Amino acid sequence: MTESMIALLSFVLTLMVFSYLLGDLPLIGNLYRLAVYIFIGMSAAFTLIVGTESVILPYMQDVLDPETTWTSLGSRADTYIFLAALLVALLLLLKPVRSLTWLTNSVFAVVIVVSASVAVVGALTGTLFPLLHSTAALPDDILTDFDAMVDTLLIFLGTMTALYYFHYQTRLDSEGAPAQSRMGSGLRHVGKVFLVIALGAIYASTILSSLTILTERISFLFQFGA
Amino acid sequence: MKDDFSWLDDERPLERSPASSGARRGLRRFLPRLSRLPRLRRRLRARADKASAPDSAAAILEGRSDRPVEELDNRLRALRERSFGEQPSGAEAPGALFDVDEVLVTPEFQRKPGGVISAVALSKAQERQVELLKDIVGGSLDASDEGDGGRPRLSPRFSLSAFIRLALSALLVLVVALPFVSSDYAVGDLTASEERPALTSMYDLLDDLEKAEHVLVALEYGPTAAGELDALTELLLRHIVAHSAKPIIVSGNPIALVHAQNIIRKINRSVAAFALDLEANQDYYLLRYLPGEALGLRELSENFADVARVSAKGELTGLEVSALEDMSLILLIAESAEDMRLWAEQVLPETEDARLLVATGYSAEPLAAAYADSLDEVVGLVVGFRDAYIYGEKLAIAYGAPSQSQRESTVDSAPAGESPDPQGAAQLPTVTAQSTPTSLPTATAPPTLRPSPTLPLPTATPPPTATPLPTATSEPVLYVEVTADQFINIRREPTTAADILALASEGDRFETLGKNDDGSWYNILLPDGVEAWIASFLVEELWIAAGDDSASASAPRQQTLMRLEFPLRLGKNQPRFYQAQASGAGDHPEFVLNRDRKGETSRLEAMTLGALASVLIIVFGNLVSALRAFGMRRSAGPAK
Repeated sequence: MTESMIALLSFVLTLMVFSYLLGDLPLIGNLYRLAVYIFIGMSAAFTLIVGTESVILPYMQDVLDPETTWTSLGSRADTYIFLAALLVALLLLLKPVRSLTWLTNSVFAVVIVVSASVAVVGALTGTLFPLLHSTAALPDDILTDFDAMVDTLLIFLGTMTALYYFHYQTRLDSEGAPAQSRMGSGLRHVGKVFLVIALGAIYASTILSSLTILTERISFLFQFGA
Repeated sequence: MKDDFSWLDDERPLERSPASSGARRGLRRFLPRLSRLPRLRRRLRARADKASAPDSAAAILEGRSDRPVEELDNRLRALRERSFGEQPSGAEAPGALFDVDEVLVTPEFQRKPGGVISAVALSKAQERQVELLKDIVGGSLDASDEGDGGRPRLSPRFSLSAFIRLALSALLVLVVALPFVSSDYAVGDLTASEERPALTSMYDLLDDLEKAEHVLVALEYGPTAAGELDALTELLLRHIVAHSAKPIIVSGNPIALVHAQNIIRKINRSVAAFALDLEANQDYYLLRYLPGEALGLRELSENFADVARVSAKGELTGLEVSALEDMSLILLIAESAEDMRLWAEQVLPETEDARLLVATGYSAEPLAAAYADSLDEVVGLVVGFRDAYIYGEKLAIAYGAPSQSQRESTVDSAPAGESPDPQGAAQLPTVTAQSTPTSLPTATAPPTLRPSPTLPLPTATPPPTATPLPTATSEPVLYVEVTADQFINIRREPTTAADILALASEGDRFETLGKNDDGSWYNILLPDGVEAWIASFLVEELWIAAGDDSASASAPRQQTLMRLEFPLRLGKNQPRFYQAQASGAGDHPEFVLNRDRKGETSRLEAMTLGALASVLIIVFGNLVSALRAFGMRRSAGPAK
């Protein structure tokens, strides 16, 4: 019975979302908006519940009752560190107080800086260097395998021209006006071609994703109606 | 609070309180000044501005201004327009690829007044990209649609563009829906011949999982991508639990945890008739969610044991892992290449030679595939619903389930005029058909086998029973061997109306217990000890000594059977197949496969047809744009 109700609800919500096809019209447009509001509200509420239940409450339990070991709080020092972090987190609640907004911003600054530092270190070691290595590395059979040679050449050409496309510096001519050589302009156009191809591939893949999701919903409608 | 900032200009050192005054006095003196720090910062900045020399580099840059465009001669003006990609001042028509030029235009950076950290300002090019993106996703509202106060209001009018959009959407929906109502609109080849090496690698790695081995499964997708990635998630989770390996599911998205829970429930429902159940914190682990994106992943990699202590429901998991190094295999199911990048950056370096398997959607494929190629740790990649379909086909082939065409042609009813082979019937006892219990097999059930991905027959397995086999002098046992060249049904009772328990293929052998009254059905014993019935005209009798190796050699083949629980139907003539194979008494499912093959096939055909329609629509739209641009250029030509 419960599953039937859930399926019926899903059916109705799917139709409400599909009502967007009819445009942003009075009443009909509200159906779509209502479905989106339900989705956003439920998502936010669930995030809040999960965060409270699986993060905050276990920590609070360990702080209030040292006998429990739900979290990493194993010693009194850990507890103090946690309380300090909690105090800093509570500073976020001071955001509405205009004169103390800077205090909240300071907490945000710490979070942003720490996140950025973590991300930068990870990006360097996990992305940039491996990408540089794989881009610069030549295949072993480049001299014998024609396909490998063409691939390498394309990668080199695409990388260099795409980078050059985002090179905005120009020299000034004798009259102080910006001048650009024909070769530079040509390289920029080649870079643009590579970028357009890349963006086209991404756009086409997005269409495929959308179609997959559309077929899933239509499949659900047919199964429900069967 | 007195707002007196004269102390900021006072260069005298602060009056020191005697040490005996205590912390209270210091705190009382310190707290009011805390609120003054922002003003101090502004004053310091003002002082720095005042102190900067007029010939400093910053002042020169700020004071510099270009010559007005009007003062330039025509040659320089044209050069400037070409160099900076500005639109000509004349009424020149846009090119055929004006959309591309809109996106790939040189950014014009604007200097915004403000403090050190000012509000984020978009350049004009970025604003144009945002507008284009909003236009693509249909989220833009015309200025005329805005009511008082800039709030959008619903337009009662039905403009031509809205009509075209509705017509195109309806056309697309119609095209996509066609394969669900008829198989005459199938486009393309749905066979598994397009298998990619990255998919094979992923399959092989998951197929080599040991019993009770832990696999870290990361679900990094939300509701919008669930329609695409849930199918992959279900198949991969089923493949993992098929080997009694234990997935440890984590996510930085709470909604993904809901999807994981729903998929586990779906798997459990499919094997409910066999009293098999995947239990939380025993057969799988659903850990608490990881807030903070990169920070959450860093916490996971640094304090894995602590993260693994609490489940998403706030329960203690009892998971005994010390660190992330214990994980040799990480399965990441992500909706964007960004998620993949975060995992590769934050988690992989903390592991010891862990291999990363990635499942993602089509929209992330261009970047994810390139990224995967550059990382040695990424050894498997599956993309979108098509790979899910192929992966499911591989599972079905390897584990003995029939393909779509084979399933449609399964047989077990005797054709008219054909009688069962009478040989041996007289030697068999006649038994009365009874409902076969669906209880779990006992401890004497054969050990579960892990078939090779390419060869459905597992090898190197011990005999089904633990008791020593009798010698060749023992009395022979009657087996039946399937002779049909297609999959045949094994049913709960000797009638074609009975539930299907399993499928068998040519060469499968079963120990017989007897026949029914008219000899048209054999009562057989499935490898897991469950009694079932098989039509006699599809098999031949085979007397084998109990100790004969040829009989035991057939046991692995029997293991590949899939048991089906059939009575669940979604609607008229819409059978839904639920398959499972038990491993032993009280054990958990060794292999679970749940596939509504008809639905999956229709979905894939609908997607292919929809992609074709999308391409046609885009090509047609670009053709119209090109013609329109050509017409505008011609009409603007005489005016120049």
